[in-house]
Amino acid sequence: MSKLPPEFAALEPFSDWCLPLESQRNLRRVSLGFAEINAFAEAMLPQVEAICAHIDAHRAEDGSYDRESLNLFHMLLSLAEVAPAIESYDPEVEVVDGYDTRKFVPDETHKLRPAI
Amino acid sequence: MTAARLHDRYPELGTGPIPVAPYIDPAYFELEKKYLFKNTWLHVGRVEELPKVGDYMLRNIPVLDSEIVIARARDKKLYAFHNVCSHRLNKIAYQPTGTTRKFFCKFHGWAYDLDGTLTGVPDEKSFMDLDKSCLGLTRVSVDTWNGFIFINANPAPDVSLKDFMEPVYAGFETYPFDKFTACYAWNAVVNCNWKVALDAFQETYHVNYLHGRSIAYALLKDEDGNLHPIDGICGDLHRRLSIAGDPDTVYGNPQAATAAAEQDVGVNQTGHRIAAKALKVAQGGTRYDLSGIKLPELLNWTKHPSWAFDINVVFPDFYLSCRPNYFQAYNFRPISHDKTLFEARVYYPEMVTAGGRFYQEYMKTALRDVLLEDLSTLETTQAAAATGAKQEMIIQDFELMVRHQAVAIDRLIEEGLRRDGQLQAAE
Repeated sequence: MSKLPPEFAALEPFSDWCLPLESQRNLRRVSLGFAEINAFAEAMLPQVEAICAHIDAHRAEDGSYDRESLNLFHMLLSLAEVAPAIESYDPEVEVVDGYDTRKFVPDETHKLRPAI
Repeated sequence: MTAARLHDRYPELGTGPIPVAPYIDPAYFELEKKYLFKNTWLHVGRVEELPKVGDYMLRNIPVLDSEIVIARARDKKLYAFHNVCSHRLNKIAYQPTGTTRKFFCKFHGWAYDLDGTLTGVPDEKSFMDLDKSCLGLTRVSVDTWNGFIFINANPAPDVSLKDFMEPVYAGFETYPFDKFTACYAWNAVVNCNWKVALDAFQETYHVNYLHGRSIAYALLKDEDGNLHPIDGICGDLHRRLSIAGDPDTVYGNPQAATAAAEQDVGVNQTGHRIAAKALKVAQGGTRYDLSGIKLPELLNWTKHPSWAFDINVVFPDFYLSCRPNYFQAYNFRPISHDKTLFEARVYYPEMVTAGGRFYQEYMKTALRDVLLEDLSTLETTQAAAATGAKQEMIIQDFELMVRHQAVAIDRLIEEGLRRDGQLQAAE
């Protein structure tokens, strides 16, 4: 079953990036090789405007989304997750000589954290 | 001609090396607990976290040896008390945050109102001479400054929060703290002294090297390539640094994505294609148009044209960095002489478009990774300090804030010891 809206079928091979939590997106980034995250970013970059337009057009009155649009939104946030690797740490996927990301834990239940 | 040094303005702080002992000595840490932390205002959160009657948060503050409950009571005011039942102890709050009508001890069911008043004692008539009005939860002081909640373990503080803040931070009232309600938080327990951690955030000397791959490019350098702060201010206890950025970078431009209207923020470096894309799709993404907000005069106090942000250290352990488009609030909470809870919070404006949210995720992720760079040196620095190989550290002019902290803490401890000595002599 496809995870994404039909017009983004070309991104379906990257749909494992449809992850709702920062911790999940970060764990995926640091578990892959640089070539894999770079391929994801190259596929996403030309689509960012269209992705944003789709998400904005599919937001319900109460701020919720259909399943496929929500997946697409999470995939867009994954592009932000891989950005530092591509822009700063190439060819590494993690922060070079950085503190262990697993010990710097996001509080994903913080009351003021955006729902998405 | 040698440029005037920051140190010249604060001759009382000296210019020599600073001692390593306060960073590794458990006895010094006990003095800090007694004379700094148990008698001062400590930041614990934002009022937006407790908007309604019955909302509460539970904060474990190791340096106070306490868990503190902060609750909004029926009179809409905030109250703070120790999480300790008045009967045979145990706790009255069990979740890190929540909303409740009353607090109950799970041992014998004693009940307390939101302001800490004891209201219910099962089988009350079997107690002897029980006066419930005297048996409320043990209060600590609580107050707010521009929406930040502070507690003070001293129920009768020597200075009010207002008087504590004003010498250095009067005039912050027009900063739009209440517009930045999208918060991301991270926590780490780091094996280092709290001052080792805070020191790493109160100088820019490290940026060129430690952040050479990430954000060094976004800050303004002088003709020699050095990254000096624009200026610094040392108060009696608090201290501030002002930092300049490159306005053509997403990280160095304080106006990025603030305006509801189109605007032109370039990204001058090649290799930042995702940044450029994030900026482009972010335009008009904020719920509020922040472009018209007049920032307080005390930000960018030198009126530097390329000003990016200020670092404000609120004594002893609260770091507040303010930009026009977001702010960071960090606490370096001491656990022991060589263990620190680092609580990092960044507050952005609420975004109403996918593009705005993407930009925010870009900025937040970049910040998190920069923090991983900052955290990377702390445990090795502590381990090095503990070897005893060096008894002193060398401080350059723009590391003045590291010196100011050391001197201010020493002074408070000396004053406290002298006061206690006089009290003992009088007895």
